[in-house]
Parts: sequence; structure tokens; C-alpha cells
Amino acid sequence: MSEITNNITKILALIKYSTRKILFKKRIIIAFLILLTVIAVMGYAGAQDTDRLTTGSDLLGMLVVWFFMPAISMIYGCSVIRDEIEDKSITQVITSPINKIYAYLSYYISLTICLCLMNIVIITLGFISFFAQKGIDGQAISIYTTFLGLVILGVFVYSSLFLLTSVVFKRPIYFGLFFVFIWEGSIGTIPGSIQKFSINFYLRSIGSEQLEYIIINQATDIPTSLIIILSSIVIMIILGSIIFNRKEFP
Amino acid sequence: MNNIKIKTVDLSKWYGKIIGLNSFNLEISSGITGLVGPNGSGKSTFFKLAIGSLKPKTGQILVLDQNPWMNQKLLSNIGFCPDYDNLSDEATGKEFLDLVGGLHGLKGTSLKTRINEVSEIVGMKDELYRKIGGYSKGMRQRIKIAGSILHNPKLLLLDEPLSGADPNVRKSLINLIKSLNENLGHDIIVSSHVLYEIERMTSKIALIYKGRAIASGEISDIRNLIDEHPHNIIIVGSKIEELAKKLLEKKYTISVGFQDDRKKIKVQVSKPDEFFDNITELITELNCEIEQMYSLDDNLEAVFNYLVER
Amino acid sequence: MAIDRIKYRSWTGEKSSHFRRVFAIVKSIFIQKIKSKGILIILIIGFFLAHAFPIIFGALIPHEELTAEMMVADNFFSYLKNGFLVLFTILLVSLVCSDLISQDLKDKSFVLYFSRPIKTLDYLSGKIGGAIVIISIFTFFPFIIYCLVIIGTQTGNDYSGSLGILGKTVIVGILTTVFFVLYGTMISSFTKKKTYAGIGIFMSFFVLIIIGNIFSTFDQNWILISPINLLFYSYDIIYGIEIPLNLNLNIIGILLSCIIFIPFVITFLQTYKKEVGR
Repeated sequence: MSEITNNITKILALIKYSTRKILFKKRIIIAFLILLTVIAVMGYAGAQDTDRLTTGSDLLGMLVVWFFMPAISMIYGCSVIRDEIEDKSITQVITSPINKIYAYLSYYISLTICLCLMNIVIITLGFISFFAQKGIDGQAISIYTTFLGLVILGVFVYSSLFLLTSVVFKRPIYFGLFFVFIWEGSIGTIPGSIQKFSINFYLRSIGSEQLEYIIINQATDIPTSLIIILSSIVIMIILGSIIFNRKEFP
Repeated sequence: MNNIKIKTVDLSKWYGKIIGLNSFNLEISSGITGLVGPNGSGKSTFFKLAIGSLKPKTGQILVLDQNPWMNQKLLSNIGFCPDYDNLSDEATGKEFLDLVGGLHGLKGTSLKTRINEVSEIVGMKDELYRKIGGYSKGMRQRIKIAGSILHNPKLLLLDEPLSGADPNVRKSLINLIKSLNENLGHDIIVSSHVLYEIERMTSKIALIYKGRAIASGEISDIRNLIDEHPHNIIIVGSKIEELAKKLLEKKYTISVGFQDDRKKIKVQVSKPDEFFDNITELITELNCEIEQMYSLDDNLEAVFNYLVER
Repeated sequence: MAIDRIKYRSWTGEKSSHFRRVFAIVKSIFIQKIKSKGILIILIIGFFLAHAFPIIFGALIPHEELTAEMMVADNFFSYLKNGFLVLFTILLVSLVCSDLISQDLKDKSFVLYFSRPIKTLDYLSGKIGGAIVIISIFTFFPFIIYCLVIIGTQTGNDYSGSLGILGKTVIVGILTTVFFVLYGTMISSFTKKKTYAGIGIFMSFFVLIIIGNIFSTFDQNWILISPINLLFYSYDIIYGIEIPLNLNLNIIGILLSCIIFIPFVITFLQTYKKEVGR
């Protein structure tokens, strides 16, 4: 029992430290800029004469779920562990008696907490800046909750992917840029089997079942999409923690 | 075996073409042991293997009778202070120690008490709430040492703790390290490339050169090696030929050779102490004008070269 | 003894070989970048995808002369408006420009530069000049090669029209190179971390493209917020191709001037702070 309490203390210490580092570094300016951009774009769009539900969901999808959320997950996910390896501050972690697998999980938890927080704020304020001008009703709330769910799910899966790349590659950000802007953004939307290799596809599949406004060809049903996404998260976390556990730190 | 804190058997580690350690054999017992070697000799590689952040390519290392690779539990008995700066400038000293303590399973009042204790020991109690970015070099070293002793480990590994520090700070750090062993009972392995600094902390050293442990034991034994091995001394001046003839008559002179021009000689002596005792007499007797005189061998590199050639 | 006043007079002579100082910076940037594996890979792959295929196809397909439509048509066969060219240019600029100023901010090398008789303008001329030389390998010289190949393989005898297009292509090449380099250098001057500068350059283009596409559904002029669309419409104007009627020419002119001059001014101010020791 005392060993379990001991391990929990260590994990909580690392989560607290890592969370504080993510939220209180200058890099948070990126999240603020994204927030301002989303509010400005959606606020401007809200003032135009357009279809409320279609435009609102298009914007939330295009801006937040398919673009900013993966991008911000990439920026933070690729740097959480990699920055600590580069500046050697990871020495505190690797020279302490915390099991490296638990350490990796702690980094993952702190990353998802921070990214969920940032994305929830962005999507909420974006939603309000648009729909407050058009009227918030049950349908609007339904759009909001669907996209909120997609964003949170997306954060979990993208975080697991980019955290994995940060322990595998020396320059994970280049993989991240390729993945988010080229793979997910372009190749992942090409009709056919190839799009099934993108995370975007499964998130869209879940969204298309919930909302008539998202049209996607050959969508997979929600249970299948969820199983694939959740298993991807689990596999990537396990892989990442094994690699981190066996990693040398010269 | 109980007394042996670290034991290596044919330990080797290389990074591509660069050899870190090469068939490294060493036993380190309790007390303070100095690990001395020039830059690039493998001291830091040795420490990283000891804390399990590197995996040996061949051979074996045992720390407190355990293999350190993928053995996180062992680290609760080891405190490590690296030679590089691993501190976050934005955090305060207190935040750094909170993290280190938390990672060792300390929390609540016990962590707070322990932080007060160690900050008192290293003399950083008044600076804990300042940002690390505002610390001086000496203060950064102290806070790193505080982090390494926070969990009261049996074994402390200090990698070049004095590097970059000014003379006053060096003195206080040396006293601190000595007191950690004498008063608090920590076994310490401290590395440096400066022999006389280690001398002030301990009489037990291990010499490491190009990835090999080439000698270990008491400092007095190592010093004798320096004195016993042939010394090469350069003398530059006028009337050097007469001086050379006189030196050849002395028993301690092994050889005398002229360099470049007739104004410079290289004298090889077996007993440098006797040479230096007699040289002024000779110079006065022959009325030479000496412009320069220096030893080529009165340094650690020369000792290493000598030991390696043996 | 009274203190001797120091008889100071400011030097009014001419700096000798001043151009060589700027050239030294240009040369060092060029050598550093051309040795980079990442940049070489982007240049090689990008050249094949964005330039080699159009040049080969352009030469093989029978044509009477080099026309503006071959350069900027709104279709798959357009040479200058193809996705690969845009993508690889953005990638190249992200790699080349990301550490131009940011590395000096990180290493605090401004002391090295400004302790020499070099002013901010000289420093920036060197840095931007070096980047322009590298980027022009992708966004200037291939354009000229394409034109020359098309002209060389044309079946018609009217070379004056083709040469006219070549002349306009020179302007387009210079515009494209300067457009991207100045923007990339500005982003590089904001941060000490070259990785973030690279991400910033890359992402900002995409963000502006997305915002431009979104807003253009409300007013067509918003499409000009996207730097790529702004550049494409500038190409149309240079080549004399008609642009959509609802696009305001004045806005195009103003935005183009802004995107060239404002980044330079911002970069100058950021660097000038370092020259005066702030």
C-alpha cells in the first residue's frame, strides 16, 4: 500500500511540474493568438448574413477541430519531453526512483489536461462569439457539445501520437508539421482507403453521425471509429512508454 | 564486498566511433573518492552508466551491488549532481526542490522539513524563493547539490561540482563536500580534472584517461609516480653548452639534448627534486644567463602519458 | 598636472571595402544553408515535383510561343500556380529563414556584428541577401529556365512576345523571392528558438489561407488576406490576365506593399534594438 501511495506521490509531483511548465511558459502566447484568431473570425462571421447552423458548424470544424486543435497538440506534444531532453532538465526525472513508464504517463496526463483546457476555452469562446449573435438554442448546443467531444477525443489521440514522436525522433516537430499539414490536411481527405490512415477521418466519421452538416464519404460508424481511436491511443501510449523506459540519455 | 560501492568489470561504452569507456575496471569503496582525468577521459560517461541513464555496450557495472540499468528503485539510494546545468531558470529553488522531493516520494510536512534541512546544509536557505535564473554559478551548484542529497541517499555522485566556480566558492564547496561525508555519512564520488582540488577533499583517487582506469589508490602514491618518472625540463639562455656539460656529470641526469639552436636544451632527469635544488648553484657557478626554464611534465597529462606508456 | 582634454573628432572618412563586409555575411549564410541536408532534400524533391515535370511536359507538348496562360492559367497545367510550388516554397522558406535572426538572438551574436563598422541595414542586407540567393534557386532561376526551355522549343517564329513574357517572369521571380524571404525573416526576428520560427512561418501561411477562404464567402476581397492568393493575383496583373471584377486593385496594391515593406520595417526595428544594446 505504501508503495502505491509512494508512486502516486511521484506521479502527481511530475504532473504538477509538467502542467505548470506547459501553462506558464511564454509559448502560451501561441494559444492566446489562436484564441484571438478564432474569436475574431467567428465573431466576424457571426455578424454576416449566413445560415446559422451550417456556417457555425463549418467554422468550428474547419478552424478548431480540423486545424488548430491538431496544430496546437503538435506544438506542445512534440516539445513536452523533447525540450526537457534538449535542455537536460529531464535529468531530475531519469535520476529519480520514479518508474520511467509512470513518468511517461505523467507527461501524457499533464499534456492532455493542458491541451483540453486550452481547446475547451478556444472552442467555447469561439462558439459564443458566433452563436451569441445568431441565437443559442438546442441545435446550437448540440453542435457545441459534438465538437467539444471531438476536440477532447482529438486531444487524447493527437497527444499520444506527438508524445510518441517526441521520444522517437530528435526533431519531432518536422514529423508533426508533415503529419498535421500534409497528411491530415490533404492526403487524409482524399476519397478512398488512404484516408482511413488518418485520425481526421475517424473524428469526422464520429462527427458525421452526430451532425448532418459534416459530409464525409465512406464514413465508418461511431463504435468502429471509437474503437480504432481508443486502441490507437492505448497502443501509442504503450509504445511510447516502452521506448522512453529503454531510452538512453547521453 | 559490502564496502565496495561501485564495481566495474571490463566496462565499455561507445557512441558510434567515439569511445567513452574502454574495458574500464575499477572498485570504489566507501568514503570520498576522487575521479580524476582530463576533459574527455570518460568521467561523465562513468557517472551516467552508474545512474543507469546509459546502457553498457559490454562488461558490467554494479552500484551498491545492483545493476543500475532500468533499475529505478536503486536511484532512491543514489544522489547525482551533473556537471551540466539542468536547472530551469523560471523556477525558484524551492520549486526545484519540491519537484525533486516529490519525485522521490516525499510530500507534505516531511518534504517541507527536509527542504529546510538541506537548504541549511548547503547555505541556500535565504535564496530558496528566488528564481534560479538569478542565481550565481556557486548558488546553482549548491542548489544542485541540495537536490542530490534531499532524499538522503547512501551514495553521492558529483560530476565536476567545482567547475566554473571562483576561488571563494570552490573553497566553500570543498568544505561542504567534506562535511557531507564527515558529518552526515554520505559516501561520495567526486570528479575533477584538477588534481590539487581533489587533494583538498580526499586522499583516495582513481585516475581515468581515454576511457580507462589507469591507476587508483592514495594520492601520495600517485604523487610519487610523478616524482619518480623521468622529468623533461627545457632551459633557454646563453652559455648553455657549459651548463649541458656540467649537467651530464650529475647522477640524476638521464640525457641532455640541444633543441633547434644552441641556445635551448632539453634535460631529462630521474630526480627532479635534486635537479631543482642544484640548478641555481650551477647557473651561478657558470655565470649563465637563463631566459627560460620550464618543466614539460609537471602536470596530470604527463602522469597519464607516463602511466599509459608503462 | 591638469587633465588633458581628449581631442575627439568624429571620423569623416569613407569605410573601405564596406561591400565586402556585407558580402561576407551573404556568403556565410549561403554556405551554411547549402550544406544543410534538409534544405538540399527540399530543393531536390521540390525541383522535381514543382519544376522538372512542368519543364519536361512544357517542352514536349507542341506550342507556338510562350504565353501568359502557360504561366498562370487557373488549371492543372499552370506552372506558377501549382500546389507543389507553393508547398515546397513555404517549406524551404521555413527552413532557410527560421534561424536567420533567431539564432543570433539565441547566441547573442549581435555583439559580434555590431562591434564591427556594420549598421543594422548592412546586417539585414547580408542576412536577407544570403536567404534570397538560396530561395532564388527555387523561386527565380527555375522560372527563367522554364521560360527559356519553352522559348527554345516553340514552333512559332514570334519571339518578341515570348521574350516579353520572359521579362515579366523575371519580375515575378523577384517578387516571389522577396515576398517570402522578408516575411520569413520577420517571423525569425520574433523568437530565439528557430523551431518555433519555422513553425510560425509555416502555420501563419496556412492560417491566413484558411481565414481568407472562410471570409471570402462573405466578401471576395477577403481572399487577398491569404498571402498565396495575393501573390497569384499579382502574377495575373503582371502578366496582364484579367482578375475577378469584384476584386479591388487598390487593395491588392496596398496589401502587396504592406506584405513587402511592413515585415522589413518590423525586422529592422527588432534588429536596431540589438544594435543600440537593448
